[in-house]
Amino acid sequence: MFTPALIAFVMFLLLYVLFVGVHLWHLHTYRVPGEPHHRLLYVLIPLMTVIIAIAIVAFFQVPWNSFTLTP
Amino acid sequence: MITLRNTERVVTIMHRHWAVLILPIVSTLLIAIIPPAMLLTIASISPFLIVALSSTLGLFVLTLLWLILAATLLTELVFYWLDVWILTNERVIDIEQRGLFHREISEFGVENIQDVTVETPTFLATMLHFGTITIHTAGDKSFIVRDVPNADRIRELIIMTARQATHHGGTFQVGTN
Repeated sequence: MFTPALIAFVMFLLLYVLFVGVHLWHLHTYRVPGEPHHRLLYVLIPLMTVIIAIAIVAFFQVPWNSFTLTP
Repeated sequence: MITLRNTERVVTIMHRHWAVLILPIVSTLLIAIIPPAMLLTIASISPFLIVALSSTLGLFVLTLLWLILAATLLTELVFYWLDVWILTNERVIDIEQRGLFHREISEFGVENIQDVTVETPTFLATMLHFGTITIHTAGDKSFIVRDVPNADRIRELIIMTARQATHHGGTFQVGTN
C-alpha cells in the first residue's frame, strides 16, 4: 500500500505546487505596476509551506503497509 | 499588462473593499476547524474513536483538507487583487479577473462620463463606507463597480477628473449657445 500512496501523494503535491505557482505567476504578471502584494499573501504562503511539511511528516508516519486493498 | 500613454497619469487605483474577503476567510477557517473539533467532541464521548483520531492517518487527511482550503483562499485572494479599476486623467480602465485564464479589460474616456451614481446597499456597506458606483457614459453604456471603498469620495474624484478632461479637451461645453 505504501507505493501507491506515495505515488498519489507525490502527484498531489506536484499538482498543488503547480496550482499555487500559476496563481503567484498571475499575481506577479498582471498586478498593477508599483502596487505592493497583498499582506495576506505573506501569511498564506508560509502557512501553506508549514502545512505541506506537516503533511509530508504525517505521510511517512502512517503505517501504510498495515492497510490492504483487498479484504 | 496596462501601459499608460505619455500624457496620462494615474489618479487612483481601486480594489473592492476588504470586507468582501471576510466571508471567504471566515468560511475557510470554519471548515478547517469544524472537522477536527467535531471529531474531538465525538472522541470524548466514545473512547474507541480516540485511537482512530490519534493515528497519523487522521492528521495526514486533515493536512490535505487544510492544503485544499488554503489553495481556495489563495484563489479568492488572487482574484480579489487582480480585480482592479484604474482612474487616470484620460480614461477609466476596468480589469476583471473572471477565472484564472479569463480576464476582461474594458476602458472608456473620462470625457464620455455623463453621470456617476453611488449606492450603499447594505448595513455593512454603510458601516464600513463602501458601495456600488455606476458610471453612465455618453454611449448609453453603464459601468458598474461593486464594493468600492469610500465610494462617495471616489465618485467626487471621478466627476472632478471628468470635468477637468472636458475642460482641457474642449470637446464638450455646457450652457453655451
